[in-house]
Amino acid sequence: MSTASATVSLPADWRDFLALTKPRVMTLVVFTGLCGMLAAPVPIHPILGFTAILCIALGAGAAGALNQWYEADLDAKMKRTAKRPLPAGRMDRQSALHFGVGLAGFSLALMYFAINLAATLILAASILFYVFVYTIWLKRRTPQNIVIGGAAGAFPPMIGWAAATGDVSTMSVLLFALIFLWTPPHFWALALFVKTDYANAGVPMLPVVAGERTTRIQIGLYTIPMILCAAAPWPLGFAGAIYGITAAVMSGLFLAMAVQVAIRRSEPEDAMVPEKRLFKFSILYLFVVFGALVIDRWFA
Amino acid sequence: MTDDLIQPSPTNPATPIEEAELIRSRQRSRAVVMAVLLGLFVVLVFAISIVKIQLGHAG
Repeated sequence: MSTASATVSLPADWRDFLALTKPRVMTLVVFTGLCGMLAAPVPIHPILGFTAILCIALGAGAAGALNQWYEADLDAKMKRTAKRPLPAGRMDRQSALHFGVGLAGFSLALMYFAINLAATLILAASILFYVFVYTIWLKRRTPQNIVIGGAAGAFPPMIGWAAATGDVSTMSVLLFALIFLWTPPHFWALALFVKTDYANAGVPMLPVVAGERTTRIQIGLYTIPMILCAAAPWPLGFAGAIYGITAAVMSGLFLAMAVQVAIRRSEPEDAMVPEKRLFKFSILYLFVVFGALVIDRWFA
Repeated sequence: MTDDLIQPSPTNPATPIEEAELIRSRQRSRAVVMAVLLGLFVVLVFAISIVKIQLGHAG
């Protein structure tokens, strides 16, 4: 960690604070949280449901802000992140820290007073996990950073479920496991085509440390438990045929793309088309599988 | 995303008057956003209170 930002003389624009919350990442977090809540067997009042999702979004935003506060030096070295408010010098680090901590505290307080203790505790765990375990501890130390750190992104459906039911059940753990196992193939597909960026920044992503071959094999290996996890709710009786068939079709496509990436060897000046396709499809996969779960619960 | 919405700082240094005006304009826009968010928060707390009272009566 270092002070990478240029001199800041102006107060940051409100849009810089918004950018600090990583709105694009938040979309997936909010969606999976919403699906976890809507898939729960207990209905939640719409106002309370909206509040729970708002808290999940604010908590994710807080974690994103604290991540950017800590990683300003790394972000400055990568093309993808160099325009963020801190490395671009549009905001001072203290403002980012205060904003992140304040937003985290606010989201937890609102979740506790409006929803329940279980959802609050899981939200707190996800923020702390993302900031301390992933950002501060693992990211710069091990190529397994996103495997373990992926747990932080897997909490939202569990929080949504807990907001509706007040507890943690087998199905919510399955949803957690699905995102947890989805994260490595998703991020490693990305890391394969932005390898130079990570290498320049000194982040020990798997392709940088262990090489492309190992990364490709790991993508294939993580895909197998992931699709088993996606399929499990149907035979276990937690979901019906709509979900089961959708998950099977999407998982089949995911597996085919992952195998293609796993067995391939990149050439010099390779456009990395299969890797980019797998990365994009992995996002669609999560949206469709979680969406199918909700449709199955409400319309089957 | 929002990163692209923010224009980079101009290379030519602003005069003290221009800079003061820019600071005031930033502060004004932040104050407006904060006021809107606080207003929405008040509405949300009111709505949550009503729902909690209703659920309390129903339970």
